Amino acid sequence: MLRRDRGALAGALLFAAVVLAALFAGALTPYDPLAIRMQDRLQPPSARHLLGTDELGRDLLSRILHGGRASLSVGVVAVGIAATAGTAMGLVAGYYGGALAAVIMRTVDGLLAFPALILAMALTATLGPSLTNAAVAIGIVTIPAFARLAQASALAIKEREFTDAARACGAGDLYVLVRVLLPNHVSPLMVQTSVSFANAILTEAALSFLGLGIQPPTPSWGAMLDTGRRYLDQTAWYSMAAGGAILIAVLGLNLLGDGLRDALDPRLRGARAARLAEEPSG
Amino acid sequence: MAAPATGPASPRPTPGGVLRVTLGAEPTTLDPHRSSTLFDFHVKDALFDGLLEDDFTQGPKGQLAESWESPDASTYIFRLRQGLRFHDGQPLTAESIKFTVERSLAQGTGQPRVLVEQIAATEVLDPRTVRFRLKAPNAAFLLDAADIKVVPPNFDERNPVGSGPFQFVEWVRLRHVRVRKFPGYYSSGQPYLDELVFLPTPDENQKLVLLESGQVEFTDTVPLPRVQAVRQAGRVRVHGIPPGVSPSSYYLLTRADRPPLDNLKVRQAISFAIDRKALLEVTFGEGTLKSNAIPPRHWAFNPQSVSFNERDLARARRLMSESGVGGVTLQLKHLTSRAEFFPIAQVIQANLAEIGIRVELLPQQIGIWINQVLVQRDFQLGLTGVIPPYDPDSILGNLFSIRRVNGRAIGWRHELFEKQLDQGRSVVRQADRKRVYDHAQLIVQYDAPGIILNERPILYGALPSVRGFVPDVRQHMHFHGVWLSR
Amino acid sequence: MTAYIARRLLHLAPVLLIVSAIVFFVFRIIPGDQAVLRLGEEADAESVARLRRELGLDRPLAIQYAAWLGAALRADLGESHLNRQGVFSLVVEKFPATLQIAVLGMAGSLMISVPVGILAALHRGTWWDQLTRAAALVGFSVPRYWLAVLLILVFAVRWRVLPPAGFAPFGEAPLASLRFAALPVLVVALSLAAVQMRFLRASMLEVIDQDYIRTARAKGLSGRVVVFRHALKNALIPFVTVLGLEFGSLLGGLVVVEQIFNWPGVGWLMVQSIVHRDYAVVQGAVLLVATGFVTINLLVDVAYAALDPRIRYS
Repeated sequence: MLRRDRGALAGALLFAAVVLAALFAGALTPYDPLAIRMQDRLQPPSARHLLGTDELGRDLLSRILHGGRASLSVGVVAVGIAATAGTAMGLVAGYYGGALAAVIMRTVDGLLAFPALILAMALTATLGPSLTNAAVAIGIVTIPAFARLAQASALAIKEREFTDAARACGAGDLYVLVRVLLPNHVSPLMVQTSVSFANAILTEAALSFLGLGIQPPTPSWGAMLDTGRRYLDQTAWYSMAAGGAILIAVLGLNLLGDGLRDALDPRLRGARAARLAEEPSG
Repeated sequence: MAAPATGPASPRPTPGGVLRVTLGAEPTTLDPHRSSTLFDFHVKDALFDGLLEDDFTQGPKGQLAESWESPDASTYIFRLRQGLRFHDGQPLTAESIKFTVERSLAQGTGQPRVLVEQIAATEVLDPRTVRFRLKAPNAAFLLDAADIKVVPPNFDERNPVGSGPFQFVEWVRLRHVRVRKFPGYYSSGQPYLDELVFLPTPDENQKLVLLESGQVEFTDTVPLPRVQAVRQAGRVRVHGIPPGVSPSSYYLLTRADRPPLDNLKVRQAISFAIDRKALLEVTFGEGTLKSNAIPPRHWAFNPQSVSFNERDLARARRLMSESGVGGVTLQLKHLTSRAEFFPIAQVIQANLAEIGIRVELLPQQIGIWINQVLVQRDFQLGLTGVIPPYDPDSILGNLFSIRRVNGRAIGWRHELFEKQLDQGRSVVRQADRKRVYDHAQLIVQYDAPGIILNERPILYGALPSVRGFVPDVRQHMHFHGVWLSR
Repeated sequence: MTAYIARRLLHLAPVLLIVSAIVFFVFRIIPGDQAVLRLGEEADAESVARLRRELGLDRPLAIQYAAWLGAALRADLGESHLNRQGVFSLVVEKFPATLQIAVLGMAGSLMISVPVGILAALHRGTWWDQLTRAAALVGFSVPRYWLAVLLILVFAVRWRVLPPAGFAPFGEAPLASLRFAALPVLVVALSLAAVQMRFLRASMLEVIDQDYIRTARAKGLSGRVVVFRHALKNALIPFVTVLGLEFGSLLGGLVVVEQIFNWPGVGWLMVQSIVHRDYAVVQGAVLLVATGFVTINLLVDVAYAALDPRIRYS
């Protein structure tokens, strides 16, 4: 148990580091991530530029740190959309059942029928590439994971005595949904949030890599990874650093998710099949 | 200037073999009379011939025509070679030329159509002689005649028949275009190659990899970041045009008939704000720093017309504040067909941010860019590469005149400029023409309807076994004289 | 069992209907009137109206959807404006290339994950187990596109032993095809293996902890017999279903890999079609991929039910 907690702690620390680095990006590096200095371009790492520079002479470290902001904000918005909409849909479906549940869950099944990246690509291709649209698209494709989880919780919880007790005391549907079902759903919700956050970061980077996500000049990990490919034999650091940033953020969230799962809900231990249904799309 | 790629003691060409060539993008059409991209031309040049060859740096050379004369600047008479045939065997005669002109007029779009619109009458004098009467004098008509690609009356775009050195085999979209030797080509022994395969390969590094690993023999460009290293390694040859010669440019179109870009000061501010030195670094020093469409080593170049070569941020800011336009966001649509368009667009974006113009970048695949910017005129700033014919009338006219394709998109109306163009066409002596174009260059520089951002370098990569390739200032790739040494 | 399959098939129909509706309406979001987009903003109102009629854009959305769905059921997904080829045949044509990477990648991943996963389960808690788990977690978190770039850097740029990209059809030039496929297959194999190792280890442990294995051991059966006769067999049932799910999700997961290695499969076709704004192809490909994905998931469920007698079909 202790070892598992260590994993969760390491994950939490790793992810916290990523968040802090992104938040204080401006203070951590002296360089403007957008400042072009052609005479300094494509430099290897040095004391001045710890990760070197890109094809326009911009400092890669500050671009990576600022890129974290874009990635994390897409993650926050996407998971925010998915967790809110998905949980609401799932709880309602689970609580009321019947035709309403059938409509909701068939829609969820329909969304689940798409590999996440494919649907996100289709959405950003039609909405137009931008940070906001990428976040919305990823949010939509992430809804099913939250909806299914919430439905399962609601089905299990509504049979328990305290739900009946609440209703016996005259509690309305809304009260039961928000005050009874939701609090009892917090543990799986937290686990799912960290896992979905990791997937959102991966999907966003994939979209940006394909040119469908964050647009220049805003630095983006996925786009940097793609552009860096052109300069692999000049400075491999370019692509590698961008990919490394994605790896650290995702690894942190996955460790955290694993740890939370084990700590909060021992019954879920070892049950990985659910995760596979939303395997990272990168 | 365009020195043959073979050494001084070139051995006799050996016939046979297949040459695989990369293309920057999928062709949009193989109809030579439809407005098209450079990548279409690479294929079309293999399939179709014109009356004259494309490269005029050393004067006109006959292709289908064996001789020509011009009694005055409005009349041109061409005499065809004997026994010319199309790929399908039907004879190519003066009637074919007449049909071609009529077809371009009826079905052509863009530049190919503009070329024939100046013709008042096409007269067949005998089966091998054709006379053009122009609506107005045009001293540069020979160059235009080179661009009129001849097709037979039953031309079908799906199986394009021409009279060029190669004949069409197949076009598998997003994979390749195959053409094979036309045995009836007029130039005896040519083409030497049995087959040419064009492979659309948008990724420039990929092109180099294909070349270095022998999967293609020829690339239509060399990734700029790698040129230096490739030259030094010496495993593949880099062919190209020396800087300052070609009319090739990176070109920023502005929608000059709509706010805010109808404001002269805004356009001038943009041109002053752009750091062309930085852009030269983006192309790794290949090409030439310039802000004038006429290349610096061209006979018509006006050395006074270089005012935007040096960045002048203070002046740009002053012009912006004088313009009364503030806090503006402009959308810049740029091509994706060459990797450097991305960093160039980003430099422009950063440069213009410094004068208070926010720029949104929108990368577009070439077919879409042409449709949106040139055809539909749905743009504010458009970044592309241009490579007009060598005559100053074509260079200035194609880029800026409201009567031509790019100019129509820009929507810049300037009567004096148009008059200068007409005058340049009607006088024949080069010295007289130069005076006219000197003036026209100053007008364009001042008004900045379209902004020239340095010379776009023309580079090719080839395996050492590829012989006989002669680069052309217009970046047309001609393979009739190319052969493979074993 | 038959009833279960029938029920699952019945369940498939509404899901596919919803899938088709999603696909149809997603591609109606494209900003701007299709007719105006085609004709240009300077087109006159009359020609816009005429084109709208020709395209059927003046009809109610529901009728447009029904017409589109009806055509789709006859394998008519429209025509690519770039290729002037039917979308259905275009996607089908690209499918073998995707399948090649998916199958080889899957095979490669099994060669890694099965031995490693079993060993880790048998030696629970040892350094080997720890290492495996750490590697699996990292492997699970590594973006595939980064892995791809890393492998290109090592094998193609530095050592120059494998081509960084390229394609040859397997049917025409099998050896060249395999050489080109090497790096993309390795990327897929490594990233799948990470997931498989985690799963196989976990399900092996679950089985090993169960009573009948303890009984078997108590009966004095040797460790190896227990592992291979009992534990592995039972752990493999859920594992096979995981492989099925993985295979289905590969349909989407290969998009970026195909793009990086310029491998002309279905994912590559989708990206190219987005770039060329050939929306009919994107739409058709998305519909076909989703249908394939749903079908594979169904097959996995049925196979699971058939393999595992403990499942109740309620």
